[in-house]
Amino acid sequence: MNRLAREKRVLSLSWFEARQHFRSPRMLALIALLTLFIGGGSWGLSDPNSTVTAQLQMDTPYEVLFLVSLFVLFSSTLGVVLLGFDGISRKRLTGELAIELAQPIDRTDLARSQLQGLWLAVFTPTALACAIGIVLIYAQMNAWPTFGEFVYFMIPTALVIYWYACIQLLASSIAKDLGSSVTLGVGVWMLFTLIWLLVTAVIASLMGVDVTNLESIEYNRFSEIVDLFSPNGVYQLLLENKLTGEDRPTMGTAYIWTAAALWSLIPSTLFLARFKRLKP
Amino acid sequence: MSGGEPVLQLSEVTFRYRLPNWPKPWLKRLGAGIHKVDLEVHSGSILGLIGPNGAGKTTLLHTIAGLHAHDSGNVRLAGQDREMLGWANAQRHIGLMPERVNWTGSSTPREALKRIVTMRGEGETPEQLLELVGMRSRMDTPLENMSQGMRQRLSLACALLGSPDILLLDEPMNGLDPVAQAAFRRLLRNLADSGVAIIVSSHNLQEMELFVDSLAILHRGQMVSYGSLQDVEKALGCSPSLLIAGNGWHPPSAGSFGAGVTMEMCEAWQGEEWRFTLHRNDGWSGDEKHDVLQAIEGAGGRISMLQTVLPSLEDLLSAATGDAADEIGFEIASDSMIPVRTWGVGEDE
Repeated sequence: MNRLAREKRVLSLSWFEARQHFRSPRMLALIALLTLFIGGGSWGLSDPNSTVTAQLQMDTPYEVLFLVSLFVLFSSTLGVVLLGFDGISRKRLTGELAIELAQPIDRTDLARSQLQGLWLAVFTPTALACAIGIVLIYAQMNAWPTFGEFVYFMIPTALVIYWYACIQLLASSIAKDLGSSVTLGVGVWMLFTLIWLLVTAVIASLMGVDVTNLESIEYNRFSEIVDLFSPNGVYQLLLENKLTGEDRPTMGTAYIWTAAALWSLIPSTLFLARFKRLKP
Repeated sequence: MSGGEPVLQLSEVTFRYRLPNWPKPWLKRLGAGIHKVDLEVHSGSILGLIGPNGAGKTTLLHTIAGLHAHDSGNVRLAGQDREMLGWANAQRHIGLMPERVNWTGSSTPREALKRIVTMRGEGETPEQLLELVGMRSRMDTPLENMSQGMRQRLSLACALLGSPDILLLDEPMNGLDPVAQAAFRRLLRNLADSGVAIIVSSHNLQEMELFVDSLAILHRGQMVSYGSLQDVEKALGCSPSLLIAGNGWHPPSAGSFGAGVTMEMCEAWQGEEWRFTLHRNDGWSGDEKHDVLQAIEGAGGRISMLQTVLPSLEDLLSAATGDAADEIGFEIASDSMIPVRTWGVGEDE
């Protein structure tokens, strides 16, 4: 089978996988989350009368989008957990995995189709919610983000969903039962989404960085470095990089994009390697 | 075994699971598996793989299907080494039906099968196969609404995709009603007649006897005996017995039925005056059964039941391992599956 035919097959399988997710009841929960967070966030944050924080200016649609990214980070990554926490373990438990692994298809291709399927299932409604979000921003601010800004916003969004998809499927391939699937899936999400700030503060204090003033330049620089080890942190840094003035990260663009490249490479390589050795 | 060309040959195939060795997970502990299994399956034949729970039947089937990379030994498919064939070509020879696949989700059998067809990169239409396994009216039923029997049929349809030469069926009768079981047996026989080599695993010897050409007994990961049912029974000295019941006569001693015959009286059922079993090491041919019947009826007995009773799995295992039947039963319940006589316990890699 030539390369083109293989890629076509992977895409077809990804679509099968995504379609299954689209029709699952969990998708309804995801759509509700995205509507509430991304739609609601876009509408509320672009309200000219609203003041969220003194440090952040929301004068342009992109700045609003940047703040909406916090909601994307919360809802879309939770969506990946919702759809993907048992992506492999459920099939292993039901026996479907044995049938799939016994087929004459390269395991890497099969793993990629799972990954792309999950990514597609979360990214599609997220992209739609973001598109609706900019319409809501326009309704409030009477200004659109430029096409370039929207595309730039969507690239890190697509990437962060991809990173979480890799992490979730890797965790799911390790889990032997549903309980450990939930624990691993939700645990990883909680680590990066809810307790990373605490992790950063603990590491900073251990390394002698002053953590009594979280607005200090020293702490900000340190937290930017720690953020490179979190998918959420890299996502934020990528988006911050398009901001102007003091809101831009102090770290060089090359470091951020290198971290993004490594986050795209390492979890997916680990997942593919794990999938190759997977036993039903 | 009887049949056409050998399509599957296993020589000294060994595979053992690697278990995490806490608190040193990098040092994997060797777990249960299969040990030095030799097997040859010919096209057009049905091999029954039997053994108690945890004997290694599923592991053996998964090893043949390529889901476990064997540690040592050699697997040949259609006369070629599995490794030489390459993954995709090797898998095209094999159709696997795992045990009790619990198909879930809102998709339908048609879609599930289409997905597997896409994985195989073939242009087959799933509808034909679904008809073959009796799912014509359920092609578009959501998987989550299907009974276990329907799920079994869908798994069989998946195994039949691409018309493989070797069909591996793991406990296929589970969840099927007796009518579906009979239809399933007929389907397997038709497939075998068309040249497919079939391996069916089960822990039920009586069920196997109805349709297999040969039998392989697996116990603690090792092949205990292998051959036709008669050969296996003969090799293990476990030939079938005759169970006879009736009225109007008092059974004499075993000697009156010929030399080498042992007799065991059983409790008579309602309406019977006597019930006993007769056992010979060589089993019972048609003529010998006839002689027994004549001897009883000639002495004034009226036979209400004559039945050939196959040895139980415990009897066969007991004969093969030399352990008492009670110990075998106990062992089935335990999870210590490593053949102690062959392997050390608690080895590390």
